[in-house]
Amino acid sequence: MRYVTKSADFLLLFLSLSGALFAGGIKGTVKYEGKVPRMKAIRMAADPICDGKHTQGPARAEWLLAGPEGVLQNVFVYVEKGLEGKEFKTPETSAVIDQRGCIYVPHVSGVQVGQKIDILNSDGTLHNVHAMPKVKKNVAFNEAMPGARKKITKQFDEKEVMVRIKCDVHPWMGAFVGVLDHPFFAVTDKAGNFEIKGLPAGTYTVTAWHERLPAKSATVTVKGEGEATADFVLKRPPKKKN
Amino acid sequence: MERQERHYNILSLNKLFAISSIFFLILLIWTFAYDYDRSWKDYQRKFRLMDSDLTTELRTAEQGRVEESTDYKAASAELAKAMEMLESRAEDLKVLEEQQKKIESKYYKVQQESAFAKSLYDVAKYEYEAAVSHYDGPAEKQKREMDELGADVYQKMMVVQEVETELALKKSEIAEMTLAVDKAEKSVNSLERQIELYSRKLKTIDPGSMTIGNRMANAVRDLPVIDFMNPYLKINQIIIPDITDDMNIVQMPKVDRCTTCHLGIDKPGFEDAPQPYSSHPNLDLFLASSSAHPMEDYGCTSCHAGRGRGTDFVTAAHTPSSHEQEKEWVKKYNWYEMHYWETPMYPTQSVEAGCLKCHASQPFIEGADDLNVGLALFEKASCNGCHLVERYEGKFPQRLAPNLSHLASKTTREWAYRWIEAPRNFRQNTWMPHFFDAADWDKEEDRSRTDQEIHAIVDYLFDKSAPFELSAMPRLGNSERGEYLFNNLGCKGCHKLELEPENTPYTLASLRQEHGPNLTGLGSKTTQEWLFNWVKDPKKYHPETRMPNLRLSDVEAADLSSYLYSFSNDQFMASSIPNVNEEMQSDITFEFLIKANSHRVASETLASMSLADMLDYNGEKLLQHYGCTGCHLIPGFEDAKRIGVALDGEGSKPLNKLDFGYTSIPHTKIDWFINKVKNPRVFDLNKITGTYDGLRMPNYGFTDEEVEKIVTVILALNTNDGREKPVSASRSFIEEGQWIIKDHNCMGCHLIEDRGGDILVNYSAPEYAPPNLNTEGEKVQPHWLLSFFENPITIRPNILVRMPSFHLGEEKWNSLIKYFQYYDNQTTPYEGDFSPRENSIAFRAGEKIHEMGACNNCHYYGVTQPLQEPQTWAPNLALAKERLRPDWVDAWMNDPQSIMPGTKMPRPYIPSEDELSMADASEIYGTDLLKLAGDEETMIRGLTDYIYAIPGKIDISLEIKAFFDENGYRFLEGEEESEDWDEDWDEDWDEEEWEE
Repeated sequence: MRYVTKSADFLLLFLSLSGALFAGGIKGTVKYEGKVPRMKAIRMAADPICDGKHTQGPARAEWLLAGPEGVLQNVFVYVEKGLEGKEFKTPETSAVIDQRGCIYVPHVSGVQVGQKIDILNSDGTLHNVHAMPKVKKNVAFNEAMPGARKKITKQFDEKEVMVRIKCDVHPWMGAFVGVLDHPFFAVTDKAGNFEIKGLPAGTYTVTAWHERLPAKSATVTVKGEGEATADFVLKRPPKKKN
Repeated sequence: MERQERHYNILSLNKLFAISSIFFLILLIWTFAYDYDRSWKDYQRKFRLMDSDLTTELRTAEQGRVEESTDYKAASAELAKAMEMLESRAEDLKVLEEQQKKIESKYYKVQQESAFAKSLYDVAKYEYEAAVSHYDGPAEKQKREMDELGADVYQKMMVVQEVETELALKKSEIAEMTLAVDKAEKSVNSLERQIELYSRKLKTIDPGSMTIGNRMANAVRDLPVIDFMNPYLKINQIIIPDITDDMNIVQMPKVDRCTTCHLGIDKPGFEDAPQPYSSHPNLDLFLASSSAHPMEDYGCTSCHAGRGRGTDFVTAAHTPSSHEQEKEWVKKYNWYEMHYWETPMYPTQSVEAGCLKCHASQPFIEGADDLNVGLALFEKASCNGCHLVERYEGKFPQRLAPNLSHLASKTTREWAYRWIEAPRNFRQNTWMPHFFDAADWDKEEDRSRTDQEIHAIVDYLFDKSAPFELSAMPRLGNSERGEYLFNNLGCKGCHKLELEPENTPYTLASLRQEHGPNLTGLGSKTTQEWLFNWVKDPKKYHPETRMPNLRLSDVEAADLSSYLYSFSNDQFMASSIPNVNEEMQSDITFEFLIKANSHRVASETLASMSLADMLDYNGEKLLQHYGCTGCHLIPGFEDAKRIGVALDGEGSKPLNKLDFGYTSIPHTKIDWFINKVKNPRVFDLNKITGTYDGLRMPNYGFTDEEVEKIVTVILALNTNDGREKPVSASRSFIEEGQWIIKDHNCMGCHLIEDRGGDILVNYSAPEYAPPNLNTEGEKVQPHWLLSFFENPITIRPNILVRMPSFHLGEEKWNSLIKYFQYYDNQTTPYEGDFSPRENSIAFRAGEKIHEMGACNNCHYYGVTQPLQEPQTWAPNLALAKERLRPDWVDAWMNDPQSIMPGTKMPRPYIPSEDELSMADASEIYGTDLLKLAGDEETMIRGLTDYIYAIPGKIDISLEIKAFFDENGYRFLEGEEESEDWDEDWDEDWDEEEWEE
């Protein structure tokens, strides 16, 4: 039995080495096309502690953060198809979501199945962390985090894009966590850029998910070395008829 | 030839005898062979092969699995190691064993000696006793002898014990040496147990695995004649003494021989095998001995019906599920319907009909999905308005349709005429059936007669309509505001306003969502004033209505009625209405008069009647004739009887009692029922009947799918004997409550027993919808629940939907309270008051948890408003002590999500032992919590204590209403636009900002 685990370790090592050796990656920019809505100021008056954290002017909503030329932040880009049947080790390091200034930081993030998520409370006021996964194996939770409780650790056990987390005390607070069974995902930065590294050669379906805008997918082929490019342009959904 | 003194020729007679004896011999053999050759034997032979293949397969798989398993590898390695060890000491073992043998023989010898000595002693003892008692003389000699022998016995016994010890020692010495091997062998065997079981089974069914003796027996045991002894091929039967088949004269215990051919039915592993071998599709619920319906207690035909004693395909009374299957069976099995078996097997699509016999007292039968929909359709169509069904007596109302006592105040004669003529023209999915515009119209004269019949009915209803005082509306009402109320107050728990596309299949959920009528087109039907009065107080107009009272203010009622009134159906109102025809009316009057009078009396009476008299007279007779009184309360017919046949037992009516008339419908029971439900007067085709003697059942416009489900219900109403288990008291309390819940559609709004809560689809999140009622019986105090039922107050301040006042009366409310309690096994009716132990450590710890949890962010404390925005608001904590049971509060605090999935109530923060042992713990958590470190239970109980001590006003309905009257429910708005779960942020989709 020991032999078996050892050989499995070797295999993993080999796989990751070969991945590193031969793997490329996917890089790209996500842009938003259309008029950029103004993010409204959040009224935090109901909780003086929250309000007190924003002396430089009020916090604003984050549901569509587009920069010059529409470069779009907080887009979760991930490999949706092309990795079937492969297994990846769960990282030992925890992902972190902080509650700072009564805002979740980061607003959008990704973790692997089974990876620990440390949820911090840097505010010193009561938050409750209410996760609302939809798939069966992911356990919904709703934990109170008074000022004194600085950290809780949770995890999700099944693939799900995305799990929404909210705070019922501060209804403006929301975050999204993508749960995947592989490490090939990224969240766009302020400049709308993302980079997925260490992807073995192959053809993949890559999807860009945004909390309000309809997702888009692209087929991307990664050759032995070098990086493939995938750019996405997201548009607002068609207006609903009333 | 010599002439013989006989009148016959012996030679030719011999020939005749010879031929006939050969003939009879052949006949005998043929009879024998025919009798011996049964179809079930082929099935059994084939199944035996399948079973042996499957078992071999399973054994191989199990062997593979076991041999691969680490446990087995470890155990066999252990065994090998132990054997090796033992081998190396084989010499020692041999020596020991020889020694043991020697000791054993010695033991035998000394034991014998001891036994002999004992018997000699017994003789001496007897002699001494006899000498003392009989001869009365000196007995020293005997005594001496006895004592000597006694000493000898004692000595010998000591020797035996010594040898015994020696032997035990030796044995344990050997056991010690073989201990490791024995242990390893045992664990290997236990892992191989399943393989061994398979092997044993194979020895009985697979000739290849048998011993030679068994193989020989196997070859001959099923031969003719000797197969009476111990055949392999034999009829299997299950006898159930307390479920009987009705044989008309006697009740015979059920004997089910189905397993003679359905050999894999109770065995897992044959799921994909062809019929008749496949496993039952639901072994967890049926057949398995651990299931609710073990095979040995219920057999097969108790549920499936059919003829259990039959051992071939036809005589078992199988029923095809379609005409195609019927044709196939005729070809394959020479199938025909066993006419005189009253309960042939249910066809596949109606298999759930078998559930009702035993479960008739339950309003809902878990797992019987089609039957449940069928029953719901049956109830919704008010079949029991005309047909008595025992199951509904005293549990479910007979008259579900509107009360017609004050019809004139509600609608016009014109609307009523058009409605009676063709209700589905007004609303395609109405449950009011077509009496006149039915499919079986063929003659123009009938058409003009029915026009007059409708006139007469309308005339009667409006003439007899009692005055009803409508109170005036304070204002016209705002339709937009009314729409908002309709969407949010809870109307959608029972009503829809949009029509589903025609023929949308019904589900239990969609039937609950239209528990009340669809409200489309009300503007054409009634007046806004009437609607205002109705929604304000439905029971005033119709005391028996199931529509509850939403406690609307005058303004709300005006707004709501204005909205409902805005929908009209102009097309419906455009159809023309023929005039009253006096001649035709007098014909109708005469038809009815002649039924009960002589020609002379009838003519005289008719002559004395005016047109108005005739209309009234005809209306009365026709309402009675068509059975309108089954579903509607009509003046003058308050005590009317049902006009249809009672349906209990209908499912087992013999075929020859079903009249197919002159139709070409195939003569099977199922076909009769299907056609009857689909087109109720079809069997009158080409019959000459009097005008009012034919079939009267109206047409409901059921789809084929609905017909199939209703036929399932009819088949279920049969005389097939069920096992009537005595219902326990708690079970009957639960069922009583379930009937009330069904009758009043509680599940339209609330999730109960994990079903219902259908109104939720209209809300962005469960927290804005009616609460689910999981654990309600454990949750609330019964006396509070009664006061809430009778006078609902606002509990959840952030929701607009309102618990209506049902006015069910104390008795029904108590039944419902009992239901909740018994459903949750919470059966103590009276509980002492809970007094929080103020000033205890736990109480102060609870206070600290409460403070850290900042409960006042969301909860009301009496009239003190929560700190956060209204959308976060939660129940008044001062109400807890009146409303909740403390044990439940503990459980709730432990894990709110498990009780109400999706609740915004977080689990309170209870500091862990580690956190409480940090250096600055007493500063953060206070000393009381520190003292309780690690004792979460006491901390939570302390929190409950604290909550029960929160003072304040208990009923804050008015305060909450005042707040929202002023500020509105802004956070609930814009829901329509919401996408899945981002409703909270939806107001950000501001159209202006998006304009390009």
